[in-house]
Amino acid sequence: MDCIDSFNFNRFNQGDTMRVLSEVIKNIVRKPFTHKYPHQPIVLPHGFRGDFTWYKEKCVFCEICERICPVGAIKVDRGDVKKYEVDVGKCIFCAECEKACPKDAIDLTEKLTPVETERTKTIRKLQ
Amino acid sequence: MIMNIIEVLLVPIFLGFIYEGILRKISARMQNRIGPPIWQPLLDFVKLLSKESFEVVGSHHFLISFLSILSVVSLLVIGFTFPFINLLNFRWDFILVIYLLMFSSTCFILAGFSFPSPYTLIGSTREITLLLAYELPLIIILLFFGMSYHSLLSLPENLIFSFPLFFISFLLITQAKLGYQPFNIGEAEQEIVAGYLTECSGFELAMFNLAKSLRMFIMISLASILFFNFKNILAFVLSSFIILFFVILFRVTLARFRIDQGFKFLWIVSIPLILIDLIKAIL
Amino acid sequence: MHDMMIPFGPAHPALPEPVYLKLFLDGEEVEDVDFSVGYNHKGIEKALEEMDYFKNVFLSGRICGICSSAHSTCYTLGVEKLLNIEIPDKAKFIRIIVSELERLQSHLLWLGLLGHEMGFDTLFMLAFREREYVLESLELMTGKRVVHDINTIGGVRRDLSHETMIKLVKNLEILEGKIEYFRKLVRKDFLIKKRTLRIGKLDKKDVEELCLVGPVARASGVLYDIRRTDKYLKYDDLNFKIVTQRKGDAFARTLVRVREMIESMRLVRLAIAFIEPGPTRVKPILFFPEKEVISRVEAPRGELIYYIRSNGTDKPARVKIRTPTYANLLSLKKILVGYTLADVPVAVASLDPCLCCTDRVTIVKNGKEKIIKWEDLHDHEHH
Repeated sequence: MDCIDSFNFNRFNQGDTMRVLSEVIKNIVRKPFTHKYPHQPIVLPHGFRGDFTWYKEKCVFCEICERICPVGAIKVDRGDVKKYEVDVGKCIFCAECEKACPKDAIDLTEKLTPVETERTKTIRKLQ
Repeated sequence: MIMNIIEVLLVPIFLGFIYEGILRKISARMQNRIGPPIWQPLLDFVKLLSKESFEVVGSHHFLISFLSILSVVSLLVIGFTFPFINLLNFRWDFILVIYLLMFSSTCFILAGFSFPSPYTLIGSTREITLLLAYELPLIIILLFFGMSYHSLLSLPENLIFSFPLFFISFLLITQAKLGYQPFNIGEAEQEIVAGYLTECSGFELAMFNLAKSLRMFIMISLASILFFNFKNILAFVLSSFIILFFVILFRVTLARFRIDQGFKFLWIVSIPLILIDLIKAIL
Repeated sequence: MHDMMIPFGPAHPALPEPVYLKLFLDGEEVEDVDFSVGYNHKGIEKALEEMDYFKNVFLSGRICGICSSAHSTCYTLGVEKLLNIEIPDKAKFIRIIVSELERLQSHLLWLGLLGHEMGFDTLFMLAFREREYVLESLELMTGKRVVHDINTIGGVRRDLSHETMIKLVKNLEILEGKIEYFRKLVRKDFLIKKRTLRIGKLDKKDVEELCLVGPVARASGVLYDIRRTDKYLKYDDLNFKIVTQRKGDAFARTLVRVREMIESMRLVRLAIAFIEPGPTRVKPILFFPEKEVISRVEAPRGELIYYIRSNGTDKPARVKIRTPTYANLLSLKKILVGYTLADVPVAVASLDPCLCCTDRVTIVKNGKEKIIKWEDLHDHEHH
């Protein structure tokens, strides 16, 4: 069930460049395959694990997401003043919190995270 | 008079950048991507002039700057004698063209040797080896044209139909002289970082890049003058673009030769073609 | 005698990998080679001991960018062997699909890099254009293009819906035509043959002495594929061929990898056809015995070995990873000495080095370097 991909090398049949030549001539009239991101937006598919969204009305502050996060990006405070903090710079977009939340309060949407230039700005204090 | 001088300096530089920009744009389209805008080499040149140039310990900084300016100037002098740019009434001379073309390549090689770096040493050595392969056919062709038709005015039109093998050989020589695939051996990025241009930066790199663009303009216009019509400006431009298209096509479809394979290829392919046409013309 | 030493340094525009090669040249001919690795030591093996087994799945998927699922699959197979659980069939087929799609994109990336080393930038652009179809299929299946995070202990985290299967098959149909084009291109183009034929030759005897793995070994005639010998997941139910060649030069390795791409596409089609509805994961009973396990997987570059030892707690005591590039690097002296400088990038690229997953522990004592053997590591246990 194995195969030896046979190839006969003939000294007089060195080969040619016809394959690449035909492809290259065809490409002149085709539309370019690349497009100018970010001047042109891209469409992400369904099920993409992107930006972090938290729905405040569904959350019961059970702290399961804080325990299950592999990097410790979520910090929940259950005291008198309820606080919810996410460090998007540490997030690895694994979606364990989305699967573990019993009330479906976390959603990893189909948008890309915006770019920040300072380390402190990646911590989002959601109220 | 001043306007004439400025025009004769700026037209080859501007056209050289435009040719290089067209080359990059069309080779990008052939690879199915968008590519930079056509005036990108000009923007690169302007940006490089504002950068700092590092002085490498063990090399003479003044020598490198001088060589870079010298390579640009020698190509501009050839440009003075071309038709449509010849506003100062210089006389066309075939021997001058041969000498100055080889001189500008020698400036690159000398710059490579003056750095104490193994990369530039190997790059310059390879470029000398390749020089031995493509300069001889170039000298034979230009001397033949020089001795048959003594000045530019007596050059007949459309010589490509009488000397087709000269034309094919000249295309290979152009590819080797401009340093594009399959003959970009002196500047092989994968093996020797950047060949003879590794240690240049800032002003010298800008001048060397300008020399490369000018070299492209000079060689393509030379091919257009010798083999096609130069008395009509439309035919001149059209034939320049045809030759530019062949340069781009070779660059995109071929990989790079090793130095021994490139040397052998140029000797085995271009010298017999030239000899066939030469013998046919003498008889 | 050599008169020049060129550093093919850690930062080089040719190889995207940080390896330090010292080439001793005489003119243009390579006479001697010395190399050192370890520029990419990230401390992964220590970091894997700090977190529990479930969180380590995500860390092991991030060791390498190109063979991400291979590492994650090998780790979870090891832990499942430790816990002695059996995962459902559907999970096994989904893991096979992701592994084979990853092999496809890794070989396409390699083909582009081979073109780039020869100065053939068009082949680079064409190969990366076709790679987009594979990455799009992976994005539809798992949610991300490069680091898939599909594995968990007990199965896979996502299901394969019917619409996704239809889109996968459509992408595969487009890909089959393109890869057939690449196969004809590699066999017929005369400059590829000029630059890779008779370069970096390895005999069957060299492969067996140096214990090389992966397509490098198969291109010299040694029939060694972990999918056939270990029969992990469901590979013995699917009918596929192992590709070998006899000559052992860079051209033979190219042919082997291009043919393996065709076999990978065939495997994905077979796995999609064999899938039956069922559960995708099993909830494991968390009782960790004090045992040590070894698991092996056929990564795109060869044989990947994980050694996991547990001491009863919920964190592993020691995880040791042996990547295939680490084994293949020993052949560097044999494939470089005697060839010219222009053959060095082509020969090194034909080994397909992925040095971001190779690290070697060096301990510096009294200012001198000392390389640690595997037996000494067995005694060094981190508490």
